[in-house]
Amino acid sequence: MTRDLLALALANACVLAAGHGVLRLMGLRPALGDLPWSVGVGYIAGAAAVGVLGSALLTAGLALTGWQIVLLCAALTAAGFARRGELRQPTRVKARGWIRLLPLASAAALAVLAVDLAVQPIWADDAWAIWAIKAASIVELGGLDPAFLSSASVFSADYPLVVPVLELLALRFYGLPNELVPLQLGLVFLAFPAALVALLRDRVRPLLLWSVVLAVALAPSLQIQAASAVADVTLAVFFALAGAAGWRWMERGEDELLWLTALFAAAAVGTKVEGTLFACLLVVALAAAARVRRRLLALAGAAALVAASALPWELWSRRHGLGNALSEAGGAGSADLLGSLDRIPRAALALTRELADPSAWLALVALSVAAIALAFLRERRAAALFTLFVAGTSLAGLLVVYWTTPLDFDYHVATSVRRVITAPILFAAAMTPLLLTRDQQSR
Amino acid sequence: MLNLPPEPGTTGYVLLALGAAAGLLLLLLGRGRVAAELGDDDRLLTLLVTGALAATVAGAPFTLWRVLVDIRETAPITPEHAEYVGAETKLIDGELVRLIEARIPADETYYVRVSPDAYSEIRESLPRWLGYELLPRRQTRRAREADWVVTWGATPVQLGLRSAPPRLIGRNRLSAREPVYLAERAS
Repeated sequence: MTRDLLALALANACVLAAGHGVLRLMGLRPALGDLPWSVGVGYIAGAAAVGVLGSALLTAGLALTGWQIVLLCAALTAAGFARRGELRQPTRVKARGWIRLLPLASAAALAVLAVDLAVQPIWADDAWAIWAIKAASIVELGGLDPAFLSSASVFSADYPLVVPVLELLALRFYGLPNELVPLQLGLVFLAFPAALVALLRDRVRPLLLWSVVLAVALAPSLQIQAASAVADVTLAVFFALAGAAGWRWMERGEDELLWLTALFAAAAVGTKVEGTLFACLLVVALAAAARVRRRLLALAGAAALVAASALPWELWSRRHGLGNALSEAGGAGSADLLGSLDRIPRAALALTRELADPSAWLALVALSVAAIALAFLRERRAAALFTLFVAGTSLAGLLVVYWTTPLDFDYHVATSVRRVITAPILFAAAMTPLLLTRDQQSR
Repeated sequence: MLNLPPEPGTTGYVLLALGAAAGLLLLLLGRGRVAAELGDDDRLLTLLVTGALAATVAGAPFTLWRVLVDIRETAPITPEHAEYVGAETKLIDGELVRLIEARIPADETYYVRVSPDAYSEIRESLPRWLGYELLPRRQTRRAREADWVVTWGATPVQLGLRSAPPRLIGRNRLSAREPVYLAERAS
């Protein structure tokens, strides 16, 4: 176990270095002692870049061996350090007084979760049937094998590859086949609170920021899903950070924040199929808020990059005729849509019931909903509309999926609704400190 | 989490009560500090932030205790056992699958069919678990395309499949001791 944990540290140090390379390419140079940026954003940016580029390399025929992963990370790091021109160092802000208890409590909760992830086997059915099987097949068969992926062995074979690529870090660098995979995948969630702090700390009061971070760190549903090694929390982290970085770009106009938005959105698209829907809605909301022509052009460029990042897997999976549970059951819309109208209120009820479950989210959802309402009341309408539109239409999109599902409706809802609402919830939570901050007020 | 306590139990209820008391105290006594920190005379904002903190504090002891229980129960699982815990959560005896794995050569294909009398968890999950565990062997969608036939809960003939005489691999210790068979394709 100790040897495997050291291998995990080494592999993820490569990812972290790659993240710093990516940040430098974007024009950011966080100080190493600035942990929220250097570890939080740095690690998640590295995971996003390695996930997206690793997916493309797999479709190009590489097997992503340990050395190939190290070389990919080294190339990203070197590219960043070769960049010329001025780099911006993010402003550092520290919590003071009793507020310091909140980061300490958050770190303690995340440390306990990290131990739990380290002892967790891969046990949840989606974890092995959809994600780990792909990573394991890449190891066993020396890369993507279309014959295996299109066989009956694989469930939802056309789901994208970012999660299997992140799991490959565990499989390529450690001992037993599935040991430490949940910890490897969970690192993205463990780094999320720090990344959120980094993105928002120069804009909002520490108390507002750390109250949300503590609620995220202690939300039972996020802990349970992280330990289940399924892709929903990973998607939620990328989507939430894309949303928060996108809004900060709207506020500050700094291009590096737009590139960060694009990177996280590309990773969200590469993580799960609904990531594409969520990313599109985010781009629409940012475009509606941008208004200025120069910003719209920059946003269009970023959106084109996100779309391009999804192309290699999209083309590869179509060329090899890979399907998923929905397409194999006849595809969305094969159900009698008019005759299935009763599904809409039933699915809406199921979504609402899960959103309103305090045993899953503690204060997180209630705080986000109250923050949107308060933002409307206090004339912070732009941020409130942005959050409401993105989160609301994401949930509406899920409602359409349930309405048109060719699967057994009750089975589909019962086995997925708790997970799929995670991304809109974490996005709204990430926006909450901004919603509670006056427009002219900075910390 | 694999071993999350299904019910709070005495310890859980005590922690919930303690957490609720701490949250209530925070709500009643902490508003002044929150308001001072926010530097804002917005009472609604102060109440909202204090309330959110109070609710989080109220749930924290119970939430963390559940994770600690999961760590205590899950940590003793050996790495070898961890490899087929996923099967056991679906009432599939992972050791039987290991025996099947040992008999099918790595480059050959198999087809799987489960008796309609088996538990629904097994019917839904067995093909997927075999897909994962029997890698790199490929599962086929039709019996006639496969080199091997795996049947769970009945013989191939009882499930309407043609094959060479089947071998009894063992009985599922995790449900109704139903038999598991492996047979080569009929020549």
